[in-house]
Parts: sequence; structure tokens; C-alpha cells
Amino acid sequence: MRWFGQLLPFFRSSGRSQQGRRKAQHSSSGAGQGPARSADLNAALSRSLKKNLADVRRLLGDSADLTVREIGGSEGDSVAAVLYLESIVDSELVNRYVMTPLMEWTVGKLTGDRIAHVRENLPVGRLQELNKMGDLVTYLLNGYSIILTDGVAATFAAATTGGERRSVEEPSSQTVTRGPKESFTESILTNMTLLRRRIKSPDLRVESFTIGRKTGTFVNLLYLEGITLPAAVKEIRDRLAKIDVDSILDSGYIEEFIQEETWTLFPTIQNTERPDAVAAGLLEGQAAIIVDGSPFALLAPSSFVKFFQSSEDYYSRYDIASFLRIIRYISFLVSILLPSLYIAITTFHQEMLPTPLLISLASQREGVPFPALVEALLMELTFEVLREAGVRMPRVVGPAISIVGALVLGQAAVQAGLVSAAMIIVVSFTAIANFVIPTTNMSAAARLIRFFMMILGGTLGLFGIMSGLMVLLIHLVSLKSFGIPYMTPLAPFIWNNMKDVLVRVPWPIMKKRPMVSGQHNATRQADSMRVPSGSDRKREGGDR
Amino acid sequence: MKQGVKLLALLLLLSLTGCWDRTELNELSITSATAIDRKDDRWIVSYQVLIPSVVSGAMGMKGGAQLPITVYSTEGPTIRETIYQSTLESPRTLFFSHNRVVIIGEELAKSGGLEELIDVYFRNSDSRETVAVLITKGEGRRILEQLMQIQIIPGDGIRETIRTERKDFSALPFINMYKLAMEMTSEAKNAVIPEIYISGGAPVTSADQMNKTTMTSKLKLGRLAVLREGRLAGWLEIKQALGANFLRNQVKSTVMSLGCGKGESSKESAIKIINASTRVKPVLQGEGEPIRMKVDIKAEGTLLETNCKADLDKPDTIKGIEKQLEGEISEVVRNGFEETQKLKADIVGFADLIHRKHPKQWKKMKADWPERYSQIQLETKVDFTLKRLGLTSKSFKKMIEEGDDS
Amino acid sequence: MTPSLTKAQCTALVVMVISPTALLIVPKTVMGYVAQDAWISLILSACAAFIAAWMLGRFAAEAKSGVPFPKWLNESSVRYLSPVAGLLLAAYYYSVASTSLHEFTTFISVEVLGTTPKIVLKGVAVLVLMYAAAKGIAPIARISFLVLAASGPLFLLSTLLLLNIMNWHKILPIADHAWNRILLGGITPLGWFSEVAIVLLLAPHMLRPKEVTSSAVWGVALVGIELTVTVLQALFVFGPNLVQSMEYSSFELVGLIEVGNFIERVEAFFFAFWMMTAFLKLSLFFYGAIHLLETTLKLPFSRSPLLVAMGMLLWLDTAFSWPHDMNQDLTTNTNTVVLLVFNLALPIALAALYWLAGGTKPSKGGSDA
Repeated sequence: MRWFGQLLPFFRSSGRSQQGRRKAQHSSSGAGQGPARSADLNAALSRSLKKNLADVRRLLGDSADLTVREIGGSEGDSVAAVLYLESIVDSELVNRYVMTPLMEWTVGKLTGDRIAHVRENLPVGRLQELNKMGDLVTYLLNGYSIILTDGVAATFAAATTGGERRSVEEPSSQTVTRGPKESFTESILTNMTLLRRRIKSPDLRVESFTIGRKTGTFVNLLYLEGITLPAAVKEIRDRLAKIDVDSILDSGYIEEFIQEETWTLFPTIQNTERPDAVAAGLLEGQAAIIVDGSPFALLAPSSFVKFFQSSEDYYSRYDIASFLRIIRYISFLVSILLPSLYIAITTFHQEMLPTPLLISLASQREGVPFPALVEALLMELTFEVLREAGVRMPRVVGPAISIVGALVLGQAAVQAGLVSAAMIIVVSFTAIANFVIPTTNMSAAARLIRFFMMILGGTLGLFGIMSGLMVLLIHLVSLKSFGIPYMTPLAPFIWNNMKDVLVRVPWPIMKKRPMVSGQHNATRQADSMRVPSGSDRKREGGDR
Repeated sequence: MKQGVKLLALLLLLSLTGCWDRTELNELSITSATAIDRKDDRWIVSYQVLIPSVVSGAMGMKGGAQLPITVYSTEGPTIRETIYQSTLESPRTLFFSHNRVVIIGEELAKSGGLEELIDVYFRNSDSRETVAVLITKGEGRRILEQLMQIQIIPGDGIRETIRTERKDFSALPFINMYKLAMEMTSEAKNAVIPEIYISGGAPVTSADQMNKTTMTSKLKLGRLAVLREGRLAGWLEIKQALGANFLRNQVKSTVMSLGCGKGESSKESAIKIINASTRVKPVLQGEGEPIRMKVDIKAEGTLLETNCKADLDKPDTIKGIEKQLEGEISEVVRNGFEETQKLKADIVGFADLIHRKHPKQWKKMKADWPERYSQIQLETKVDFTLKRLGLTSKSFKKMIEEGDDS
Repeated sequence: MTPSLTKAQCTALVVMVISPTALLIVPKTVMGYVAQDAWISLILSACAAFIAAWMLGRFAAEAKSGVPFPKWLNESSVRYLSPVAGLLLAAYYYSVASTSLHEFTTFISVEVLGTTPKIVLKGVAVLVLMYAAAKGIAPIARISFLVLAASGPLFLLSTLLLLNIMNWHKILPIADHAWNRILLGGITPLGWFSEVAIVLLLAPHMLRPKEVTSSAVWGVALVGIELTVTVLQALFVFGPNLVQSMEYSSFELVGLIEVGNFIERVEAFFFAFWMMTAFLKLSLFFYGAIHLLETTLKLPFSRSPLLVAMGMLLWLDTAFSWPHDMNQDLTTNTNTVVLLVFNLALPIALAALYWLAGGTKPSKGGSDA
């Protein structure tokens, strides 16, 4: 039995924005685009089985995977027919629970009010009655088996969705050493399974949307009632409802459509492959968006500091987690600023260098043909090319790339006198620091800002870098993510929420949810929770 | 969005027009020491310039055959013009931020050109005021040409020499440009500069001269030059300089030698003085009377070496040694002070002291301070504590003699 | 406009408004006048500034949350003066922004970037200011708070690192100069402290405008402490005679910091931090000018054209108005008079008239953005 049924208003939801969903639904039925014309789709079914079948075949262009099994009666004069798209049904279910009963009945009993009989006796969990061609086609395309009977202008769609799906594997990005190793897959049902297993509260609300005219992608919006800010949920819902496009192939499309500001390098919506991260986000007051066909779920509203939190922080001990978190922030700064600082100091502020370092750097630069800024830009761009090539390389050739990169470009370039060794060190360290940032979208932002800073540092020295930093800071501080300032809790400074920013304090101390979201339901632990200490334990157990 | 495009356009424009202040590392001429001389009315500035490839090569591996420095001079009517004249012969811009030492020629100090030099240092942003200042008899350029053992960069080496000297021997103070300026603008307007000279035979200026285990001549710190109102007035020997340093409260640690008993001329014990502090209190006695200065020196020390037969276990012996050293210190201080009185140069800060403690009387005394200074009576009181004796209690000589006896 | 500033942010803004340029100019001026008693002058000046800050704060606290300054003036008893006051203050803020930008660029040019044409430096700075003013006052306030929080430890660090070359005897004898000189030496700092009048502009943006009084006083206190400590540092290290000729003594000071043998000459680092505070001050003044113009003239269009126009004007004006770069009479005497007139005399006159005429009349229409 497949839990399904996103399309018709009978589906259970929090009951809001029926308007929105209907609009999305209408758009997904295709208003005037492509060969399926709305006139055809809005037509009612006819009484004649033959005509219905011919219509369906015509609408689908006689698709090769459309299977029609006519039942009962003699050739060309069947009593009923079962249609399904072979590629997306579970043939076992179709054969056993739809075809077998129907065959038995047509031999024996399918008389009288055929519709009522089927409706009452077909052993299928979800059974929809339809009377429009458009609905029939939609259900057909979603893996339902359609049961047509002659002489009746109505039909049934039985839920038999199946087909091959990827099984639950380890996440490809955002891996942890300690913690759950399940990751989302492309099937929205599997993803909902993974989430429901983690949050067993009745407050978990699931709202569904169908977005994309040609793709009819199912999009689910999840949130915890009573924890998430209603205003934020409303905002997300409104924006999702406004999307009107041809296709949604990945959650990235949704992200770009609903994000706050397009002209910014910084991501305002998180994405993750890990169900435990989504569950944690939901519990902190974020809303999750799961898109069918994409293993990456979205979390909104988000803030700058959340991009530096990794699930592993919460599964390991607080001390190592805090240390690594600080390292992440430092790495972020390094990956933005190190090349530009290096260029600025060695070309504008040489007095800051200790003399032995200055002499060493100066001797390395003898004979190098390029100015420092050009050298840095060249090496950074080379590294970006290498990185991109590494992604595209087939696995067998992968190691060759690292050898090429290290030896040829690094070592040989230095020995040939094209670049100085210090520059190679700076560039490599910057790149490594970039990888430390846990989320790819934030590290992408850092990669791009780096170039901007390099040019500023190379033309105006520290003054340029400070101007760039000022612009960056103002930009970051003025960004909002669904109504919440991006740099909370750093600016505006909320002392209470700093417990999870630079360090992670032990769990018994994190009593309140971050103000970003869970304002009206801030307590998440009982007051009696205390940090365990030796004296407590002794009093509890120990010597009486 | 439009703002972003504008910003981007301007940035690209900036990088295209070239950067005005940018100097690549291989366009710099890094000086590690400079020397300034005056001849008649002309300034002669000499620079000791590093050759980075040789220096870093030498630091990494063995000392190469090439020399790490090169020295040249330029001449002109004012200091800064002289420096910019170097562009006529140097392919790179002179870079003074890492300059360690400024050597002043004697002529310059005698003819009073120091004020102009200090003005240059304070007015320009690329000359650092933390550069060490030293004076030399004769031409400063010869000091720059001298190579040093162990330290590849001689300028660096000179600075380290004076630094370690101040830390461990404290006879000569470490004077840098701003301290010099401070002293010259203080109430007494007198200053001191340590001297550096080449001791030994011929100067070592080439690689084959360096390739021996002993060098024929070395750079060495010598006496202390005393400047009165910006001009060279005289010299203090090392011991006298130590005494003056005690009065200036700038002794960090030093070593003094004692005889075995009072009056002995041959010195047989050495004591290291650590933690010395001086307090001076002026006592004004009235109009025509000389001023009395009460000097209160507290010091602690360790015994480093002794050849005396006294028994160090007895407290009386310790007291005796302490008393002896107190006398030594007093003597050194008095000697130094009297020498400065002869030169009528108040380099120990007494003028400032009187200004601070008795501002009203100072106004009257200001005019003829050098005279009054030469009539000051010094009363020293030294309180020395011998804290530790080291690892052995008896001197080795005593142990041998005791062995003989038994 | 939605009010969003907290008390702490307002304090930070006050500090940012006064301290960057004050740090450049006040030490030299006061020490040049009274040498080792400069710290006494500063403390006296700060006390007078407390009173001024308190008065200005009380006046500003009359503001209603969300109603810009000219607007609530307009609805109060002194409405006939409101357009005049608005325009005068706008012109004043613009001119301070221009002067400060000039000071800022001169300083950078002298200390760090010698040959870069100043027009380029000014252009880049103006771009940053335009961007900051476009985003409004909330981001500026948030960043000010963070910078203030970071500058405390930094200040402490610099003092600690200089401890071994300090010699506190150098400020003796105390009160070497005549008392009237000491008092006069406090006038210039008072002029700079009086820039706390910006709270008039900030109060409507605050969540609780009543708190603006304590923000103003706290801000002045923090700046007073900062300036006094800076002056004392310079005196302890350099002595009273030398500092009288130094142009930027606090930066000479941090240039002397030496840790071990490898951290030396790090003043560029402190200077970069100071640059951040200077940017904040400039953006605040620029924003102030634009905000006042917008609200006094009740401009119906969005902010962008005004920003671009004012930005270009600022750039060209600063680039070509000063043939010399030097801090002469202009910054000590003339500037002090200007500061005192616009920051003290004008608001006090307004306040006096306001209270004499009976305070805020029940407003018609209430507040709108």
C-alpha cells in the first residue's frame, strides 16, 4: 500500500491555503501548453470504453509503456479494461490486487451497478473515483492503475505506485564519523519515511504542493506546529505557491525561486542530505522542504551561523566540537582573507614582516616574472580548474590528477621560477581551509569573495581589504532570511543564543531554542536537567 | 543590482590603472644599517644593503662564497636629499623599515647636526624611531663594511650585541631614536650614545678574510659618548658608564668582581647583580648651598665565582661580602657621577627629578643648572643582599687546602 | 522606518561618532597646549560633556519611536523652526562628513599609502559610504556594536604590550600649568564630545527612545576614558616635551610595540581596526545628512537618486576643496566653534524653545514611515 494522494483536495493537511494549492495544481495540469490541450483534458469521460481507450492512447501518443488489459467479453467488446504505465507501477500489486479480483468478477459477478461493486470490493487501499480525462491522465502518470468499465462515464484509479528506486545509502556529502549514516533518496516517500521515524510527534505538519507544469513535482513543506514561527511558514507557503514554471528537477530550483535576495553570494537557505539534520532543524524551529526527485532537502529560515554547524558537533563531545567549530570559523576567515592579506602585506606593508621572513620571501621572488597580484590570481584560478577537473574525472583517472596537480603545477612551477614557493603554500592552504567549511554553498561563497578581496588587497593594500570587509559586513548584516536577520545572534547581539555559535556548550546547558525561530516555545529541556558532576552521582548512587 | 555592477566596474578599473603604492619584494633595497657623517657642510649617508638570495641561502646552508651585504654612500646638502640621490645609482628603492642601526660619525655629533637627523626620523613615516643609535670615532661607513662572525647580517648583529649587553652587563644603555629625542628634549637637554668601534687589526671586508676561524678585527662596543645640548662633550669609560646607569635606574643585571677582603687589590670573587633598583631623593638646602642627592640602591645577587678562603657557611662571611660589594657599588657610582660632573653634563635625570619634586624652585635653578649640577653632593646608600651561592659552598681552593691539612 | 536600535547599539553608535576623528586630533591639540596636564583637561572636558550629553539626551528622549527627527519637530511646538533646523543640520552633517573624509584620507595617505592619488581613496571610501547608507541605520548600528565590543580587548592589549616602556613619572609634576590654561585646553575636546548630539537623530530609531539619555552619557564616558588613556599612554612613553610636536602620537605608540623578536612594526594592524571605526563614523554622518534631507524636504522618491547625487557631491567636494592637507588652525579653532554651535547651541536653543512653548502638542495623524 502506498501512502499517496497529493492531488485532490480530499487529502489531509493543516487546511490552509487551498487557494495556493489549487493554483499549483491547475498549473500542473497544463493550461494551454503542449499538445495536450485543455479542451481535451477537461472533457468528461464517455460511456463507451472503446472511446475512452482511444482518447487515452491519443493523449499519450500511443506511448510504448502504456499497457491496456482488456477484461471480459469477447474480442473488441470488453467489459472492462485496466490501464497502467508499466514503468511506474508495481506489477505485483496490479496483478494481485487489481487484475485478479476484476477477472474473477467479470467471469462471475460484475453485473448491476458495476461501479458500486468495484468501489466496495476492490482490495486496494487508495481508490479514487474520477470522471475527467485530465484527472485520469494525471493519475495514470503517477503510477495508478485505471479501471475503465464499459457503459459508465466514471472510472477508478487504484494506487499501485512502484518502480525501481534507489535504496537508502550513506550521504555523499556532509559525512560524519559518529552519527546516523542514512541519507535521503530521490523518492519523496522514502524521505518522509526517514523523517517520520525520527519525529514521532503529532505536531509534525506536512503540506503538499505540486510544482512544475511538465514535471508535476511533488513538494512537501514540513514544520512543527507550535515551534516554528507561523509568519515564517506563511511566507514560505506563499512563495512556494507563487512558483509557476515548466520544471522542477531538483531542490536547487526551488531554492532559487523562494530565496530572499538573489543578488547575494551568501546562501539564505540550507540544504542537506541527512534526515537527522532536517529533524534537528525542525526541532529548532525551521521549516523543511522536501522535493521529489532530489535527495537534498531545504531548511528555512536559516542564518549565517547555521552554515557552520555540522551534525557531528552534536553527536561528539562538547569540547572537541567547540574546538572544531572555532577552527571552522577561522578557516572561513582564512579562505577569504589569506591570499589578499599576503599580497597586501608583501607589496604594501613590508615593514610588518619579521626580517628573516622578509629576506626569505624576497629571495624567493627573485626572478619571478609576475607581480604578486597576478601570480596569486593565476595560481588561484589554476587551483579552481584543478578542483573542477577533479569533480569531472572518472574515478579511475582521479589519482593521476592529484599527481599532475601537485608535481607539475606546484613543484615544477616553483623550480622553473614561474611562481614563488610561498605563494603555492598560501594558495594551497587557502584551498584546504575552504574545504573545512561544512556546507558547500557557504564554501562556494567564500571561494568567490576571495577573488574580490584579492583584487582590493592588491590595488589598495590594507585600506582596500578593510573597505572590502566593511562592504561585506554591511551586506551580511542587512540580509534577511524569511524575516529573520541573517547574522543573528551576532548582530543583533543576543547573548542567550550564543551558546551554540562559537562553541557548543554541553547539552544540559542548552535549555532554550534559538530565538531565530522558536520564540514562543523556547524551552526544550526540563528545568531539572543539569550538567552531571561527580557530586551529583555520588549523592544518587554511592555510599549510603 | 545596479549598485553591484557599478562597484564591479570601478574595481576592475582600479586594477587596470595600476597600483600606485605597490612595490614588489624584488624591487626593494633592504637596508640593515645606515651611517651618517658630516663633512664641512655636506651630509654623507652610507647604506648597508642586504642581498636576499645570498642571505637566505646562507641561512639555509653553509655560508657561500658571496657576501650577503653591499655598502655604498651618497652625499648631499640635506639628509633626505642625500638619500634620494641614491636613486642615481641604485636600481631599487631604499627600504628603511628594517633598518636596525644608525651609526653616527663623531664629526656629526661635534658639529650639532643631530637635531636635523632626529627631525628626519620623526617626520617621515618610513623611518622607524625604534632604530638603535650608536656613535663611532671617525667615519661611520667603516663600521658598515665590517663583517661579523655568526651573524650573517652585520646590522642585525650590532643591534643584538647592544641588546644583550644591556640585558647582561648593563653598562651601556640601549638608545634608540625616540629615547635620544626624549633625552634631548628633557629638562637637562643632555643625552648619551654608546660607542662602537673596530677593535683589532685590519677591517674584515671580504669573503676570504671571513674564511678563517679567527677574524683579524671585530666590532666592539666601547665607551659612552656624552652629549651636551646636542653636541659631543666627552666620553665615559665602561665602569663610569655603569655607575651612571645605576643612577639612571637602568641596570638590569651586571657582574662585579671583588677582592677577598676590604682593600685587597686582586679580585678573587665575582658576583652577579640582578634586580637592582635605584631611588634618588633631592634635598634642597637653601640658596647658596649645593644640593644633596640621596641615592638609595637596592640590589640582589648571586655568587658566581670565588677563590677566597673564607667559609661561606657562616653568616658573617656573607655579611662581609655584602658589605664589600655595597662599597664597590658606591665607589662605581661615585666615580661615574664625578666624571659627569666634570663634563657638567646631567645625563642621569636629576634635572627632571628636581622639576618634578620641587617645581617652584626648579624655575629658579633652570638657568644655571650645569653649574649647580657640578656642585651636587652625592650620598649613596646601597643595600645589597646575596641571595644565592651557587652549587658549592666552599671555594675549591679552600677544599684543596683543607685536604692538605688533614 | 521601523525602529530597531537597542540601548547598547545606540551607545556604540555614539562612541563611533566621536572617537575616530577625536583620536586623531584631540591628543595633539590638547597635549600641544598643556603637555603633561592634558589628562586633567580631558577629564574636566568629559565632565562638562556629561552634562551636555544628559541635556541632549533628555531632549532627544522626547522623540516618538518611528517618527524621524524633523517630523516630530514639525509636530511639536517649534514647528516653525523645523525646516530651518532640519536643513541646517543636514548641511552640518554633510560638511562634517566631508571634513572627516578629508582627515581620514589624509591620515591614510600619510601613514600608509603615500603615492595613491587621494581622489581614488576618497572615491573608494565614498562608494562604501553610499552602500552603507543605502542599507539604513540598522546594519551600521549592529556592526558598531560588534566593533565596540572588539575594540575593548584590543585597547587593553595595546596598553599591556606597551607597559614595559611606560614610565608614569613623566606626568609629574601635576598641574604644572596654570589652571586657566588647563580649562582652555578642555574646550577643543568638548567640541568633539559635543558630537553626541547625533542622538537627536538616533532616538526615533530606537526601540525605546527614553533610553537615549543613558546611551548618550555612557557613550561620552567610554570615549572620555579612551581619550584619557590614550593621552596618558603617550605621555608615559614619550614624555611631555616630545609629544608636543608629534602629529599622530597614538599611532607612533603602537608602532613601538615589540613582542619577542618577530612581532614588530604592527601598527598597520591597529590602524586597520581604526579604519573600520572611521568608516562607521563616516557612514553615520552621510546617512544622517541624507536622512535629514529626505525627511525635511519630504522627498517622494526612493533613496537611490539622492544617494548617488550626494555621493558624487561628497566625492568631488572633498577632492577639490582642500588645497593643503594639513591640520592647522582649521581643525583646532574654527572647527571647534562650528562643532559647538551646531551640536550644542542649536539643539539647546531648540530644546529651550520647545519646552518653553509647551512640549509636544497632541499630534495630528501620528507616526508614519
